[in-house]
Amino acid sequence: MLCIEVRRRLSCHLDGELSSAAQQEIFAHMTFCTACREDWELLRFGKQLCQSSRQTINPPARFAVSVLQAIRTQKNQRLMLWSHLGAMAERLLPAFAMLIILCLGFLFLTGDPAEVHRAGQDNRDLFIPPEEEVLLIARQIDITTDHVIKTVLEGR
Amino acid sequence: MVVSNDEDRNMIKQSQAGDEVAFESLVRKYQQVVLNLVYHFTGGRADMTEDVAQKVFIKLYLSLPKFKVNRPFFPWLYRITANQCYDELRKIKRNRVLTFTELRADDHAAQDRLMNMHRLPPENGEHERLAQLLAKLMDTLPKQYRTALVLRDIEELPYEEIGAVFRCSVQAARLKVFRARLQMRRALRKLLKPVDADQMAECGTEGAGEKIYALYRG
Repeated sequence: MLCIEVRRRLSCHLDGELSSAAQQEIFAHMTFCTACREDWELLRFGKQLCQSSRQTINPPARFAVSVLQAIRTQKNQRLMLWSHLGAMAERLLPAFAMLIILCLGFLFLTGDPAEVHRAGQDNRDLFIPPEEEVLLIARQIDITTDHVIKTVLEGR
Repeated sequence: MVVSNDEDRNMIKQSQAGDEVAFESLVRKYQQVVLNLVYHFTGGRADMTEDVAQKVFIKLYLSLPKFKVNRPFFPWLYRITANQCYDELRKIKRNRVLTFTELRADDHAAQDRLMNMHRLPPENGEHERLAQLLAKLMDTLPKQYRTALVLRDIEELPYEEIGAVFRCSVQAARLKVFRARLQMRRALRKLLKPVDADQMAECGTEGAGEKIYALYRG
């Protein structure tokens, strides 16, 4: 048997899952292969170390009761947290309502933003340059001569 | 090994419905198992075993509504316990305070003191020295290998159960244990002085652990 095969089977050997023939083969290999024997001894030592550390911890008499108490305390803490949050929400409710009313009022006063934008566009269309405005005024009061217009413009 | 049965299912169903008496019975049934597991997962830290076990049961109570009764209870309990233990160990590592004098790389005694500061003070017995050595070795292993070793070599669970805990096949569970053992062997070789295999073989099987340890320590 090759070293690689022996090492692959060492874990199964440690669990006592190999047939007696396979065990014999492994032992035969280990009589002349020091490296595999050292691996085997270290594995065995590791397992023995684990087994030697095995302890049975006896639960204290009131362990279950203390667990339930801890659960109740935690539950109460959660309930208290929720009640705190509820009380805070109750106190903040009028302020929140006021804020919503203010927001709605602001929106109502300013109107629909799209409409406001459109209105701005319309106002820009209605803009009349000053020269045209003078002409319009002149027409309204029936003064049509260039001289008068010039005078009016200079006067401005 | 505790097998979950109809009695367990009834207790779980009643606990899910909010029956505290049923949950208390469940705690009473599994308290010893959980305490042992916590003790081994935390590397023999007896001072924190009870607190961590209590946290495991609180976590169990809180996540019980999510548990499906037709599924096996025991692997689930194992997983909760392992996760809680690793959380606690992580907290300990995070909260560990180092001083400059303790940080010197060549001061191995100080390093040992730091590594074991959350364990009970060691007694002068061979058993305690071995337990400390195991705890040190376990600290070097990744989480899943550590779990695999605890379940197989300390708790002596069959591979089917280990597979159920890891939610993998029996073959994969075997592979995990095999790799964990290899890593443990590597850590052992690093930690201890090399000793002739013949000397180790002479130690036989009865109490070989102590004898090999004595050989290694010289």
